[in-house]
Amino acid sequence: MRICMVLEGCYPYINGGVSTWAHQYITEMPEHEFVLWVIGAKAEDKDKFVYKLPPNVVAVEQVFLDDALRIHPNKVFNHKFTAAENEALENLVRSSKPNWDLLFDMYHKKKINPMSYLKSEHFLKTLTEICKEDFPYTAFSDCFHSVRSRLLPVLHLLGATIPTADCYHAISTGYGGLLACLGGYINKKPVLLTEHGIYTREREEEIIRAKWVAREFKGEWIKFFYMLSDLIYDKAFRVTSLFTRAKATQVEMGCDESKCYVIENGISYERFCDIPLKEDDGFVDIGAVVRFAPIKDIKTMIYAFFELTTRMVNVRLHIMGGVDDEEYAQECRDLITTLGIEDKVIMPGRVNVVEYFEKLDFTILTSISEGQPLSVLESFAAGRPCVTTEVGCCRELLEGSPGDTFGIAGYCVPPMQREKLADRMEVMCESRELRLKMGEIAKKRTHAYYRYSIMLDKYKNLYKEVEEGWQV
Amino acid sequence: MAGIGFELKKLFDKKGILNSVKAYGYASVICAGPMLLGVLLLLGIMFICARAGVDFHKKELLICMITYTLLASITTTSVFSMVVTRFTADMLYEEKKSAILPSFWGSSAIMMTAGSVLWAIFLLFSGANLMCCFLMFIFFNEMILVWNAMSYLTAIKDYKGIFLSYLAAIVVTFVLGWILTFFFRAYAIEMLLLSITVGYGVMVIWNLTLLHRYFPKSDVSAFLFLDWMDEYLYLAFSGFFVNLGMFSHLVIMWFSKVGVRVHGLFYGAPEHDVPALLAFITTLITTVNFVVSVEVNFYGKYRNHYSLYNDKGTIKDILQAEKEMLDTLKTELLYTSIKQLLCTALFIAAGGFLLDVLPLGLNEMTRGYFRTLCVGYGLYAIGNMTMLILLYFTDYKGAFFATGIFAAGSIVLSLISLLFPQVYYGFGFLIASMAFLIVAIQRLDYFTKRLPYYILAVQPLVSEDKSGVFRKLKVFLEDKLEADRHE
Repeated sequence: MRICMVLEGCYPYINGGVSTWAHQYITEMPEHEFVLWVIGAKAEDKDKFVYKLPPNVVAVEQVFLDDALRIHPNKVFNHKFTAAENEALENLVRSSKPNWDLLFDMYHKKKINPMSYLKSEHFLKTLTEICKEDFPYTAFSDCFHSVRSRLLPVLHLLGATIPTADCYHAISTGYGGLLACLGGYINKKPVLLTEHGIYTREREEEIIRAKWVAREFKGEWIKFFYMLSDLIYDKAFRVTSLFTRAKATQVEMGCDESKCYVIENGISYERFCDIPLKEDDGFVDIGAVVRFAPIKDIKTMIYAFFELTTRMVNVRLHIMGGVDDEEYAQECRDLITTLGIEDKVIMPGRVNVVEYFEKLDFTILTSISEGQPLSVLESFAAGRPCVTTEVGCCRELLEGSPGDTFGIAGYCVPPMQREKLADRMEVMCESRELRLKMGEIAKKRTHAYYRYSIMLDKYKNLYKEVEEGWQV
Repeated sequence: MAGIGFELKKLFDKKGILNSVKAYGYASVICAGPMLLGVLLLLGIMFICARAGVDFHKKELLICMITYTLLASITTTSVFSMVVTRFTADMLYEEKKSAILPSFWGSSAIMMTAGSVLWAIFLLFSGANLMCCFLMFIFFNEMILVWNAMSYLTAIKDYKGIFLSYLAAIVVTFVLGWILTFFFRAYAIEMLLLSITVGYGVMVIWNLTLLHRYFPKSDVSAFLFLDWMDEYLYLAFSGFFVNLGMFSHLVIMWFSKVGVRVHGLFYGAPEHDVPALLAFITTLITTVNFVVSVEVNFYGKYRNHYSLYNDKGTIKDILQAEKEMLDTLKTELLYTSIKQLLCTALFIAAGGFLLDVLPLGLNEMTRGYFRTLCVGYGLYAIGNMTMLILLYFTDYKGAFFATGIFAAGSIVLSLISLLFPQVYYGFGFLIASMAFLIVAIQRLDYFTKRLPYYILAVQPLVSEDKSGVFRKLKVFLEDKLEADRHE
């Protein structure tokens, strides 16, 4: 089967969770051919891959959003829009369920020039009418520029060259989801969606924080991304997520539950399962496999550990991982110095985790946001329990999803609460017996649900299902 | 989720910025001042000549010399005038006052260099004596500075200062001319040219003082404005075309059956030139009306309307303001046209009397030209005002076409009119003016019906770099200056 994997702003340009996942995923499925259809932000990144592509990647089709800005409008623009086309465009501007098939026809098959359209009197008239009704109190020219810059990349993507494939597998909603649906529609092939996080929610958070969107347009931009997720939730043959709660969110956002599956990410259990337990040396060693980035909230980790040191003497914290954000890393180092716990916090940088686990008793994770954190699973496979913040599917990992009766493999606390974090760490430190018991549960759970081979089998079955079950 | 997606802000932080829209139509209005001054000057010279008893041939030659110099200098400056006005308005808007004065000297230098070379070649073969050539050369360069200074002075709207400098030039010229011709009658031409040179010299110094008082000296590149030439090439052509349309018919008539060769390369057509100069005065009606009425009443609405685009106006506010603005515009244009029409009629009626009074020695043919040209210049005045409004709306392309038709029409139709009996000579210009007016009105109508489209929709999503031949010239000149500095 030839699978077109649609990726947005990650593999093969940038290292990271999803990129690693995608690389390994393709490598481990030599029986399938893959075409990568990748969206980058800037055309200057063309061909700048940070991965050596596996041999079963037969083609890479690259699309860049900023190329939209380089489209030249036609000298003459005289497309006559039908009533249905007008309605589709109006709904697109409003971000409310446009007739995508028609839009695909217009901007892909009929090749309407997006720049010409957005600079046309026709577009201005459409927007004027919408503004009269929907935004009578909003600055018109701001609205105009906002809508125009929102639509340009979308219309640009609709004109993209579509690689041929037997199915279009999007790894996110948003622009990637849009392309997958376009490919599926034009070539009459099934569309699949695998969401590692909830893309639309992440975008929503980003827009709320963003300074580049004026406050009055934030709602519109958020609505726009909801429209894009709506599209692929509607068109996709199957939609997968990493954990139960993510699935629930997808359903809540309008995805038909019957097409939603949970496929957990897996790790290579065998690499970790034989790591010996740490001998009792009078110290409790706490590990955190984490990059230095604000989203990981390492400062709270340091504060909580400091709190712990005021209660116990024989504890040590190991922060293992590279630096994402040098400024933030320095702030963390300064904080450690200020709190006077330099001798208890060890920062070895990037390490071979398998070897390093031997020195650890349990691990912690203090992220503000996560999907399904692999570091927790690795810790579990090594038989080390975990204290985490309640983000992503951490609770599910620690306590088990419905039907899982192994028991509790660690503790979950709300994000950014150093006191509660310290409390749970203290409990964990106090009893080696407790740690061993939880570690055993963690190991069993990982073996039962989170092995890489399990994950692969599920995806392979998904493709099989597509082959057998999908009809035009 | 790490790695997925990318930050959108990198892509969209640049919204298509509405260019600083500034009213700068004044330029050509204010330039009408020196033009009228030129007319006044010619009439005054004629008067002095008559009083001083200068012979007919000498008088004719002098008038030719002055006319040639005025036309040559205004044609040279017309290429840059609109663009430097826009440049000055933009710099004032962006609060980069320091870039203005250098650009005055930069643009003057380019025009004086290029103009002087051409003018010197002409003078060499003109047949005028050395003294006259020298004075005309100085006069030409003074005029370039004066015309160019007008473009800058209009931006600061110091009308009183400008007016006083006119007055000074006139008074000095006439008083000096009167005295000098009284004492050196044999050298009347030279003496009168000298007085003019001194008179305009006073005006130049006056204007430069004004400029230096308002604009600070600085190290900003003197050729920065050349970027504006590339950006607003249509505007540059519009200025040039108006000038061509307005004066080409005069030159063509010099070589017609009514034309005479006065001396060397100096030609004239007194029977046509004098009524043309007088008729030109009628444009003053619209010019003045534009400044005191149209601009005043219209500009407030115009600014309100545009500011709504920039300062968060809602769609309903914008449409309302647009309607008010266009209503005002319509009324003002109509009233001005009616005033021009009435005054033209009045002038034609009174003109017969005027032509008799002036010591010009005219015939019935001249009266005919006067009537034709009065109508022609009247139509031109309204057409030109309409074109200025197009410039307010930044419809440079429209202005380019309208003025282009005016220029081409004036040249081609005047040439064609030479095939007809002499009584029809002014009709080429008249028809060209009418075409100018019709095209400008049509375009204004078309454009104002699509204002939001032109203000918003045609704006590029990202700023485009229009660099062309003038950018190259700028780089060349800057390098030159830099090299000189190091030597």
